[in-house]
Amino acid sequence: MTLDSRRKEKIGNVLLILAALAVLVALGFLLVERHFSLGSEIAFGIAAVLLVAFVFVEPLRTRKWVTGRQARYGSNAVLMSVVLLVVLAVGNYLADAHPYRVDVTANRRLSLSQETVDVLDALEGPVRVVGFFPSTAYPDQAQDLLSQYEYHYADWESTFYDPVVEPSRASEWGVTDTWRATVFIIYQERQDVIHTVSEREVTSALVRLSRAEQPVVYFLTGHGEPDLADTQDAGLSTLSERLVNVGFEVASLNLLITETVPSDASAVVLLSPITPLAQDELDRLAAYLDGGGAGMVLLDPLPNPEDDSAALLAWLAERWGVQVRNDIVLDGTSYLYPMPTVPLVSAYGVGPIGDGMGTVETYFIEARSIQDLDPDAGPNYVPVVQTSANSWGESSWEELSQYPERLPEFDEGEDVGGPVDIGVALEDRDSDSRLVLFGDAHFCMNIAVQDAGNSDLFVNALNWLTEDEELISISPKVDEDRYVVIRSALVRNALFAILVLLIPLTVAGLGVLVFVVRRVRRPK
Amino acid sequence: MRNILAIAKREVASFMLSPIIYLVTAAFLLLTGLYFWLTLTWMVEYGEPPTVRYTIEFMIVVFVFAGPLLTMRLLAQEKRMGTLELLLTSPVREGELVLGKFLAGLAFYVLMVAPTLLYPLVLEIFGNPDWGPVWSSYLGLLLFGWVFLSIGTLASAVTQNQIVAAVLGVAGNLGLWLFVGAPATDPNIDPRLADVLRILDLQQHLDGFLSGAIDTKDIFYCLSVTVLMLFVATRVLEARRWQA
Repeated sequence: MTLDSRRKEKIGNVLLILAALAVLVALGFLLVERHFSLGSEIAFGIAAVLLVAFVFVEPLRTRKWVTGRQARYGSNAVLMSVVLLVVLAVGNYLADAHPYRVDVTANRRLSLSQETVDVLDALEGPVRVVGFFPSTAYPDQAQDLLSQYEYHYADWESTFYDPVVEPSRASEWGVTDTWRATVFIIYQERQDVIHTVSEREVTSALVRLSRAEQPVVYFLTGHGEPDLADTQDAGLSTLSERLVNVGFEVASLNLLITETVPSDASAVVLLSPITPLAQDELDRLAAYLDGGGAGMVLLDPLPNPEDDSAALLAWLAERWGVQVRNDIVLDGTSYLYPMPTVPLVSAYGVGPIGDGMGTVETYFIEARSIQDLDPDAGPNYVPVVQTSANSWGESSWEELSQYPERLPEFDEGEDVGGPVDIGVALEDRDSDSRLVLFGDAHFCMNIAVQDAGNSDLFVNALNWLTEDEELISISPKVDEDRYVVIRSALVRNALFAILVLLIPLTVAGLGVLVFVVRRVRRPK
Repeated sequence: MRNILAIAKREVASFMLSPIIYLVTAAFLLLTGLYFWLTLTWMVEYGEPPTVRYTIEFMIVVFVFAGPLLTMRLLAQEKRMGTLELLLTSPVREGELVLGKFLAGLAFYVLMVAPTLLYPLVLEIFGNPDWGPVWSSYLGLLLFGWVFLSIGTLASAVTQNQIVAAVLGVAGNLGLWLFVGAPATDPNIDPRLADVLRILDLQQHLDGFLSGAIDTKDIFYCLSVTVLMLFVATRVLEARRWQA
């Protein structure tokens, strides 16, 4: 080897080492920045230049590497591996882009209904789901369901967190309830929140978020109702913000000034009037509802019965078959301590409104009771909020005036015994009109609306009033009641002995036997 | 095919004579039995629906580590004992050798897992499990076994030291199971790269099997990794010819 060739070899080695270092630097950039940046591109470029320089400095060594026996066989093996890798990569990409899935569960629990598939087909753009599931909120079932949406809609991204394990992430999203599921569904820069992960809830949220026109909800004014912009305790500013966030447009309406309910109204809300409605106003409201409209009426107890709108109560009784009693519900079992006049509810009636609530608690400040006047006739009456069996509607204002010094008592024949309805959903299938009636309005005022599930109840009720008919047919899939029951401690212990001790010990015993036999048979 | 089966039979016979393999199997059944018994107690106490989902998930985690213990000796031992050259001078091709060894590992894997079918049987005796997800979970367990065993076979092909083969196998399994998909959750990562990493992430392909939704993309993924690993293992053995 000449001096010149030795120098060239040294230079070639240095160039190779520098090229390897440049590649390492480029990979370091990639690792830190997680995408191709100017730094990584420059480093890769330097590595390429150094390799080209090596080819010029050491052409003989390069040719030997490229055309040598090892190179020929090696490059052949590498080429075949690369071809196979590309084929498999393309195959996986195609399989990922066009998956085919077979649902083998007993009641096709993992298959979405045609209504949901239609809703997904109509979506355009990414859907992002961020779910916070404590371990007690059946995260597996929810994730299985959401994976079905991901399967049907390619631009779907679901992320799941445990708010107990990741409290900072929960607080970043404003999740304060760490004991129940909270799922944010984001589409077209709008966001909805659900707490019960069922197909009906998720699809309904998607329908709400994808509506081209936002449903308009009119709040009646002119009778001392709380103001939508009022930020005081008795105002509705917080509720109004929540409704706008979940896709409603909110507006005020005075039926004394406007002769009819506007045609764009999706629902009309009458919330805690403190002076009676005029007959004209009531007629206009009734005409709107009879024409297939949707309404929500929230009435607070009024100590002076003259303040109550007799015409309104008569209309509710005659048209809707319900009586809103002028009493206050006291609950001896489930109430916001120490106030039995503030019933606490965590179980809701079966139906779209109640199903969406799950087991979240709501509370009602001095609610009045509602009664179905004729269960066999009139519109369909579904209790939504019911107090406990140990509650009653106290109708004696004399007794109530002595509260809290003296707790009123249940008077048979005068008071309504529990469980007492304080929220009901009414549906007249002939005229296709709906009405939700609450015996309390405080739960959606600023003082209480942010607590527990109070605002969820109002939003769920409004969703039912304004939702599309086709979604109502998505009923939850009812699986066979599956269980495993082992009552006897003896059986449990026997199972432990068989599964944990007997089977492994038998296999280990076989191993020992093999070991012993091999030792015995080994030639000495 | 005859060569492949002959190699597989010989290897299974050798498995059956290895006391270590019995101890590994016993330890595996002890761990999974205990885990199943704990989940069974939880299902009984809290009225949860009967499922083997969690036990299968646990078995797969165990096999991330135990799989390479089954495969570490497959090719590494032949190399160390010097019998690999002898085998390759016989009319056996490298691909047949790799496939035969892999099939042997797979057969023993099935034997290891077979006693755990007692678990859903217990659920059937004392309850009413949904058998669809049970079978799909076992299909997932089988396919994930293919993946782990093929990685272990490749690890065993690149070294003659069984311990090194086991460590490489565990590293490969952990890489696919834990590390490949982790960066995909980083919000700063390039979305195209995140998609690729998500497809490569082994864990992403398990949920469907466990919940009862058998997806072609999950099956194709497991088959792809297996084919690729066995192909590379064959090339590694072939390299001995022209490197010599």
